[in-house]
Amino acid sequence: MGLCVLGLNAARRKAIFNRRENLMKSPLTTEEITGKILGIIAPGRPLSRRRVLKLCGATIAGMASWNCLGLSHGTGVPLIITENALGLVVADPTRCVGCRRCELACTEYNDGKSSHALSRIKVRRNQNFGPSGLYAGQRLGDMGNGLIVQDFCKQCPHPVPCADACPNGAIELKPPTNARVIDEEKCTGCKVCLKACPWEMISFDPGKDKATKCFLCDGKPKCVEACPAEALLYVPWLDLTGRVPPRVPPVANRSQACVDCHK
Amino acid sequence: MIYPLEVAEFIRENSKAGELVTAALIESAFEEHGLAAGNAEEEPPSISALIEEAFRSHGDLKEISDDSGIARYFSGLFMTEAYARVLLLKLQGPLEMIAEVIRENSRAYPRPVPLALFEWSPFDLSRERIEPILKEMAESPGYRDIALLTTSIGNLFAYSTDYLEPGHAEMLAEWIDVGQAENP
Amino acid sequence: MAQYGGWAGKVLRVDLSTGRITTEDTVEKYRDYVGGTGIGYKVLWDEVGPNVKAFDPENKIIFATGPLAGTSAPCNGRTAITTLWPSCWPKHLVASGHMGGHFAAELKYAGFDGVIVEGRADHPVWLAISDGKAEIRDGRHLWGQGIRRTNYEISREMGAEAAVAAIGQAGENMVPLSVISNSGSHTGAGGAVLGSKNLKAIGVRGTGSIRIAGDKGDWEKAVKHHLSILGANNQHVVPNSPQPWAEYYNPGTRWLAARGRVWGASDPPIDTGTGDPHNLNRIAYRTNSAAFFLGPDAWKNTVRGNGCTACPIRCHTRIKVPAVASKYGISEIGQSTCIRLVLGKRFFKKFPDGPLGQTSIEACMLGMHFADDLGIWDNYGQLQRDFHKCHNEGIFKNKVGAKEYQSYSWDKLERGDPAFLFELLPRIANREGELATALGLGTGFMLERWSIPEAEWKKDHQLNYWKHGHPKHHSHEDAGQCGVVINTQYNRDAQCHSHSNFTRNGLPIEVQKKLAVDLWGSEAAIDPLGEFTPMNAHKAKMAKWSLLRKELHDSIALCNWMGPWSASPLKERGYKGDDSLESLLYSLATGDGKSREELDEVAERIFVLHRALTIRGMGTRDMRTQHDTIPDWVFADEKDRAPFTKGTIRMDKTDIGNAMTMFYRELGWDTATGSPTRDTYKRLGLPEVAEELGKAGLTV
Repeated sequence: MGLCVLGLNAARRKAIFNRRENLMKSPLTTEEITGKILGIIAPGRPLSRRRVLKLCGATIAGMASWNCLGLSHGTGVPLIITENALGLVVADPTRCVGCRRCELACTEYNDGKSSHALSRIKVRRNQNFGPSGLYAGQRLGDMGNGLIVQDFCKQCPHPVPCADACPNGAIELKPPTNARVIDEEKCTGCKVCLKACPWEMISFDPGKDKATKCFLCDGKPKCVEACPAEALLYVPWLDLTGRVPPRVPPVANRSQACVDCHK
Repeated sequence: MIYPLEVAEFIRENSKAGELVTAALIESAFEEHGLAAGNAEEEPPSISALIEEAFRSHGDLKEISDDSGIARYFSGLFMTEAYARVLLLKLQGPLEMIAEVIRENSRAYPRPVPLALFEWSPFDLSRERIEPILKEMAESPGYRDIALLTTSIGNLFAYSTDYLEPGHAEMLAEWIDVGQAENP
Repeated sequence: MAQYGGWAGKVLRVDLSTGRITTEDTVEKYRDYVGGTGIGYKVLWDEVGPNVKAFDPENKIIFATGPLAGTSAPCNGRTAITTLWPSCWPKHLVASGHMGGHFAAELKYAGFDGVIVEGRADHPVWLAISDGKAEIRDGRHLWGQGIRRTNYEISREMGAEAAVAAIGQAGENMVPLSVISNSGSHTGAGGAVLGSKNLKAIGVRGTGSIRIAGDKGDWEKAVKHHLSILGANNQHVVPNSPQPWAEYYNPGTRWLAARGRVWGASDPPIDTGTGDPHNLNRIAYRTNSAAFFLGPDAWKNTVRGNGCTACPIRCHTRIKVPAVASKYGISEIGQSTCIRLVLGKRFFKKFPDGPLGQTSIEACMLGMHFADDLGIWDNYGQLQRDFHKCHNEGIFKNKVGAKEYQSYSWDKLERGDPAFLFELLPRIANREGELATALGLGTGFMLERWSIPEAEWKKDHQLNYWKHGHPKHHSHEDAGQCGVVINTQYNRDAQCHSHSNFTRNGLPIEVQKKLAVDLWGSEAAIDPLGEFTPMNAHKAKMAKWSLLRKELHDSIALCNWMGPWSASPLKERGYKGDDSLESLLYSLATGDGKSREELDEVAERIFVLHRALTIRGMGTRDMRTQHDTIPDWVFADEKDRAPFTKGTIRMDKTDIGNAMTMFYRELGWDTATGSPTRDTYKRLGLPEVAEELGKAGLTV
């Protein structure tokens, strides 16, 4: 606020004023959070640069699988988003208390109904047994070691898998946050985007017969506001697509659209 | 150059963190970071003038002082007078602090207080220190009204006989320590 | 239905004898009873006759949530379980259990506001409810399994997101002191009734939604308003130690957050902070049930808070105690709240390292391990008090064969070795031997079995025993005459917290008295603890308000362990809460606009229907002398101090007589018998109840 205007060096100001603040609260930095998420999902596997690249590669390969699904006949040309998003909701599983107020804030305050299935942040599916469900050796969640992993939209950089997959070009970049947003007018409810997201972050509203996804509440995410444990943060966008393993195995296939540009 | 807004913010941040601020602390904090120097050609305003100005333009700032006469500042947005008073008591040493807190509780609620209370912020006394302090208190004439009792699970409570009768104090201590948890 | 929000719309009816599954329209059939206990009492009144016993196939057990369950209204994760109560002595009368967790929300998302279970299956079954469909499935492979395994196996069939409410071995064996449990630690009593019906569990999976009828912006504001006046667990609004933002502190409250108090077993640890009430993003750090109940050493064991759907309070604290895994071979993780958190340690008189040491924590871990898996209910601590009394006074020795008596390692009990629980708790669940079988019956039936007069139990203050086989639950130790009146009304321990949440909220008495003026018309409604004054009309108003809000909460699905929100932590509000909150949330969610007074009348209808069920069940209208009885110890003091002197909670017999009269009058009941009058039934829209009772000579 005003202090910056007054020309005080930000770092100095911080040194003076925040000396004690750390005692009160020390939210993890986004880097730490990323590390945390990865540490949880792949325990004991430090992230080598090589693995990051591998994950990225795999992800890219899986992103635009509409072609292999035989759905390339839509409007023919997918909407290519190249600009990055400006904001991102990130989650800290170590703080999550499993109340799912985030899910309910998402759907009640945006859609006027309570539904975890419709929510664009997803906790319920990981709540009992963790992201690997009942079929993993080490179980997370309430019935396991207690850690609850919140799944959130990565607002993917190019190539944006859901947008690329949409046969109707209905997933667009929307200011002021540059979130990847579904245009309800254009969405036909075909659910192709649901299959395209490696993190299964697209929801489907059976009432409207439309897909829906995180649009960052135009810069004031309801989920972040609703968390009673400071487990969610709204931060400047950072690329987590290569750092959070996908929920569904990527399909190694490249769309014609990719080939067109990346000859 | 320092501005009154920065002084106000400094007081507020300290209040949030549960600390009172003196003029000397403000001065040293700013000096430490070379901010008071400002533009070498300008004469920096005195700290007291800055504080005065800050109080004029920021209604949440409050002052509290004890017998020492040293003024201490806090922001009513982040700290209550009740808490500021506890912090002042703390400056007067553990005996006086413990006795006054006990008396105030016996008078206002009324209730005895568990000695374990003093282990936590803002009192921050170690478990080992509290008992010798009470022994010392028992031997000092100024603290004759301070009485101790032990609950059925062995925890020590204290109250002031000026405000609480022993039987009543015992019952209340047992309720706080055992009764509430036994009847959840 | 389409015009209403909040409700899921259907109530499911499952007849286990015939396998028939039907649905009813919630609004059409039950709107006047809202949900929860309201639906439960209505079904029992209409469909279960006065001579039915708890384990007869004719008894029904009704799981019902309410219109706020599954929404973001704070503290809504409630399911009421209403049935004829198997530990209610000497006759099984109506009562309800109250279960939190994620079952309620999941049931609503699956399209149902409640499930009525009737009949009896001819072999063990479980009920699968998934998105509008229900199916009775074979449960023979689950019979004999603990609750955790049952939850796991059903999740494998239904998917990882299922919410499973199950009974353990205690319920299967029809041990009256047994629970139904979901989401790990959220229990409601009544397990034995499910066992008698051969129903092992209900699994629920729902991906649907609940419509909010009101404007979504208004709804968001209402919810944020509710959040802004929340305190910590039990709506304690004052922190337990001095905090910079707070005018007051109170070492008795459950608002434990403070700098330096850390969730020590979180990785990395998390400081709970100063807990400024204006920061709605830190509500979850205020409460730590483990540290409150197990002592400050439990901070280092605290992993995090846990709890019901949409509740920011998180009273089911999750703790990690690695030592119990190596010592006893049980999970190092435990979670619970209140009485179930301390269930294990209450069997012991002392521990080698003191009442709040590591051993006591280990005893609690063992208690949770067994009680939440075998599905044992401890009758709000009465089980352990009965156990102590019978052990100390040689009753076990007299009533139990020598061989069986010696099979218990009493030395372990005496020296405070938690391993003793391995011998006791499984035997209670499995009805093994005389001692464990008798204990599991609940106090009333245990005393009857062993020919001990109930009067002996009613004399002993240490026992806290009240009547009908159950103990007191927040009586005069919390709220003088108001508490006594409340404890006369139910057929199990009273389970009402409206009054105690207020008196324990941590505010100084002068502030509480100011709030009392608004709520009950006068400062005289409340007294400082241990400085009681004689009965007055405002105390009667407070008692009525407390009971109606309890039934309202149990029906619209709000937690009476948190509500009513009669005080807040906000200095700028003069610490006022909001007494119209329930009507605000109900009206916006459902679209059925009801003022506070109108909603209180609905609550009164529900409460009076409970009264009518009790009258019909007992076959007498003379409730005052036959039902609303008060144990002798209420009128005694160990130091023989007179009533109304400082330091005693002793009540005066004549004064309590006045209290009952004033309470009956406040409700429009006949003061001689304590029966609602015909006019009262009619005023509340229950003319058919008046008629039926009238025919049986049970009205005045």
